[in-house]
Amino acid sequence: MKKAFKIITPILLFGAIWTILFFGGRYMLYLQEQLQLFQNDWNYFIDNCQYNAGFAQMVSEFIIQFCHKPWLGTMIIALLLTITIYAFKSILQKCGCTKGVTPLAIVPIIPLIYSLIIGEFAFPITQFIIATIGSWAVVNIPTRYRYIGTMLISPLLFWLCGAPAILLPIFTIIIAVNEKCSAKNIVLNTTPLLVYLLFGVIGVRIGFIGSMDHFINHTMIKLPLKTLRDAQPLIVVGWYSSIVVALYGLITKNREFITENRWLNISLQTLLVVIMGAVVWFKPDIQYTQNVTFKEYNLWAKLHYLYTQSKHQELLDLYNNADSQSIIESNYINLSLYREGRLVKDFFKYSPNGHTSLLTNWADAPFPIAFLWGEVSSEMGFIAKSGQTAYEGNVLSGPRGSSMFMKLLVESEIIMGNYKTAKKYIEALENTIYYKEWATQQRQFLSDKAVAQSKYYNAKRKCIIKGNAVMALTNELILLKEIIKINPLHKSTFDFASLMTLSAGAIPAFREIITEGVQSRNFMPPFDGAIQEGLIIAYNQYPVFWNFYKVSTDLQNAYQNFAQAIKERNSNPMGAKAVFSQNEGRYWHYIETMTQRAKAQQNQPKIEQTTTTEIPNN
Amino acid sequence: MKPPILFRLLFIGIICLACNNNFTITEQSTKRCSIYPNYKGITIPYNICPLNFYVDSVETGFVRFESNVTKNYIETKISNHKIDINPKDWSRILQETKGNRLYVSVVDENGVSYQQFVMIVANEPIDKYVAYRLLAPAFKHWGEMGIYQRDLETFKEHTVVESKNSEFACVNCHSFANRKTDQMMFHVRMTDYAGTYVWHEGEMDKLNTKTPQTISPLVYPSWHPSGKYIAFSVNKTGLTFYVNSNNKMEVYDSRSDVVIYDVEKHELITSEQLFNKAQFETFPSFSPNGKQLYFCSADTVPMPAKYDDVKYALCAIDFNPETRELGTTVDTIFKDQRLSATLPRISPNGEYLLFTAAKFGNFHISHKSADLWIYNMKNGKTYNASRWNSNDVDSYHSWSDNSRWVVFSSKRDDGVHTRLYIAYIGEDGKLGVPFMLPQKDPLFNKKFRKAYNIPEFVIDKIEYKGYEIRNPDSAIQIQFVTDIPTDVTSGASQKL
Repeated sequence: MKKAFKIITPILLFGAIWTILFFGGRYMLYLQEQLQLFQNDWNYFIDNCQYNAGFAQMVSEFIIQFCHKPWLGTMIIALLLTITIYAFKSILQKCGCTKGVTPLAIVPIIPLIYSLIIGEFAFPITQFIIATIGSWAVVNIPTRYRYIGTMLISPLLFWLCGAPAILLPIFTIIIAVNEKCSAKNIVLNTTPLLVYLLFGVIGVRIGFIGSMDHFINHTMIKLPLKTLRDAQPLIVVGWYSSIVVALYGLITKNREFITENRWLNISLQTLLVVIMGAVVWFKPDIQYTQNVTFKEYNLWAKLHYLYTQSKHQELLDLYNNADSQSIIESNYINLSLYREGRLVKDFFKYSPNGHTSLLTNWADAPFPIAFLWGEVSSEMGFIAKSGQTAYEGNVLSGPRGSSMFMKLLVESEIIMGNYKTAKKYIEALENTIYYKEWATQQRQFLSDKAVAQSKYYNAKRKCIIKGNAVMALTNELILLKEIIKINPLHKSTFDFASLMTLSAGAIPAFREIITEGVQSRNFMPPFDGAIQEGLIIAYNQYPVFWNFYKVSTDLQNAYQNFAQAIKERNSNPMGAKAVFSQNEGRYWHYIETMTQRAKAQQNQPKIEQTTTTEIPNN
Repeated sequence: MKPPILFRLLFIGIICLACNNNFTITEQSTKRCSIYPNYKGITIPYNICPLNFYVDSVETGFVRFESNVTKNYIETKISNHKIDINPKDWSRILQETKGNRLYVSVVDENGVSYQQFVMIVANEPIDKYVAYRLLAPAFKHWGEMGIYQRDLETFKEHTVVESKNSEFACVNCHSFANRKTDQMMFHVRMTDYAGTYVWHEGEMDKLNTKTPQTISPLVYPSWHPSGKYIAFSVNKTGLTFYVNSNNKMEVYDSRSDVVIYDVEKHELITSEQLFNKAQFETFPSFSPNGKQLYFCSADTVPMPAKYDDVKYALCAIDFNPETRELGTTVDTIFKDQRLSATLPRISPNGEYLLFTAAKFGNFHISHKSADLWIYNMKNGKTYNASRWNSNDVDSYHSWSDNSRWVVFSSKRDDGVHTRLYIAYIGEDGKLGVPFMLPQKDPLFNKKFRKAYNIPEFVIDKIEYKGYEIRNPDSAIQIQFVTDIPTDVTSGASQKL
């Protein structure tokens, strides 16, 4: 029975940790994977290991890369955390606790799990794992060699994982006291701690460690917790709690306090429940950054996962019965609609947030704004802008860049004809597990001839505007018109431009886009969905154009009913309401009932404005 | 008695190694081999570190470097397409070949030698160090960055200061007095560490350089040879992106002036000629004797509307370091309506003024048309340093102490990541073919995704350590002491 328990407990622990990580943090972990770039490269190893804790940084990036497949990444992390719990349990036993130490060993792991769920980078977690496993290895060597081992291993551990290495010399002292060593031996056992601290000071002096601030910041608790980005202190609490637990076992000399001290036992279990409860309860309300709550950020991570994994229908299903709350959500929805070929047809069915639903304003946020800006710019034909955004996102993601932005860079540089630059990023992506195949495929496009033969790249290259136009002297709409002119077959530019003007309520600008689109082609483009609906509004005064632009008769009739319902709204409110609900998701319904938020977006000066007066409204 | 097995294996191993080193050339071919970095025909100093390279077409074989003076040669194995030259052998062969030619033969595993190429070994040494900034290419943002010092005689790189020591602030514009490191400065932008840091007499001053009279904190620096002054520009800078151009971004000044900072008195001085609202004045540079201040100047135009109409001319004004007085007349050294000249740097022997010119503007590091130009101060002739230039950006440059070497930044390698190139100019003014800053791993620059920035030759090791960046409670507030008529000034006190 006892043997079975010994086998079942770790399996249960592993299962529990995996369940929490997978269901609570898979999107955040996936996002972490997107914002980093682990390289299977010797130089990468050397580069990392030049700095203290660089090894831990590298290991964390190695582990997180598997979160490209969240089930696999979470399994690896769960396994490592389970091993860490047992290593820590073993240390506690050495410190004097003999029974019921498993729950205690779980205590420092809780902040680690919490930290992963809320999207903190995995680096501090790896630091703790390396420190614990390293300490476990040292404290289990025979007593007479332990202090020498600690003295030798402490600096090594510090090099590998940074400040958490302090666990080892502290545990050594506790164990020495526990083992009733002589005063002389206890003093001797204290030397590793001094060596550790001295190592820190020397490290700072010789430049091995950035600064004393850096050294101290990794061992001090910074409270209060203002944003989730400051969550690292929680992990530090974990480290300290482990020391406190060990000290408690030593001081009370109550080796079986978990089982014997009933009240303490109850208190501790309650504390665990409260901490876990707090994680679930407070998580959505905590600010991820100064302006973004965790709930919002987690949703963006989920949208990003669904979009980049081409699960577009699943993404759109999230908004079947709910409005998008932000322009970021709207941009993901519209990109998914575009990928599904339904953008023009269904754009107004998903409560767009004005014209910024199609092109988020680039602010300083590295994610997801930079990603969306890059993706949308690329679709619209602003190739250089897509690349610029990718460069910005790449440097903001981390010291070695990000797989997600590097893919954008490869594409934009190939389109711009910078093959040497593209090759550099291809080579970087070829040194990864999950992007190798894609990167190798891009090699075939590293010449003008290959680009000319590629349907995808050639279409984008034709969008390159000649001349020295700078953004400060123009705006998106002028540029979109220019792209439509030089590359009228680039349908996405036409679609995005049409929808941007429509959603901004900029009817004259919409008419210009249509005119440019028609004039630049030698055939009438097949207008669909929202564009046909927009044409009715744009040429409301001249229904002859409806037929010229081949607006379907059904749509013309539907509009006539809608216009009639508006006229009769006062005399027949119920009838008008019924017609309104029939037309939900159509452009004229959107423009008539445009939300305050969309109207606020509409007031942005970049796109020429118009009013909704062209709709018959009493 | 037979020797032990280990001993026998060791003996065989030594023999094998010895055999491997016995290189022979069996056939001379006229075929050319492609190497990276391209070191063919370059002029090198005799104290440069080994020029390891990658041979595209040869996986194993050897390379022979033969002096045309002594006919001595050294050989090094090609392993996995790369060579890793023994530094002692390299140093010896360069010393022997000083002022002459080094013939390089690439030989494949069958003993077939590709067409030889030449490296010219100059008589003059290069400064031992070059300091530069490394950062990943981006436009508005940055991640990790730092200022580093590279030993040119070895491959060692030392950290001077890194952004991670200052909460990831931007560290920039490092500058040294007379290429010596006992007086240096750099700026830190953003975070609580923001300020100008001036290292002199073994102490670091943190300065608050914004004054009510100037439009911005101090920007582009140039030390006076006495070490008592630093000339700076102050710039109201804007940034915009190209819509679809490989130039990527345009940085422009909508206002700018030049001021001189007195290091000891913490005062700013200037004159009407340098602080004029009718002109954009920027990129100051003291002459080696300290009696002239060179700078760039352009007529003001509405910005950014006329960003591509701005053409900077090279100008000079007298400066008396004893009285701190500036001259009253400005000499125009170079003005060409087809070009905009920036970054004047005069060789320490006072013979040449090297500058960067492009079609317009002043931020030439992002202008593909940017080239290095030389103004001969003896005969007044100006010419394009075409031997040093490429089709891509060739910009920021620094002179060595002996005026024979120039280090400059260029994007010729891949169009985005700036790399450092070292070039030679002879006593007769002839230019040598430049070479890329050597790395131990010849493919380093292919993989490295940071850009080199602001290379500055330095002759000794920088003693200042970045970990000493502290955020003192109060920075020294500098004072603007020149009385400028308000109808002339473009300073902050003038309402435009």
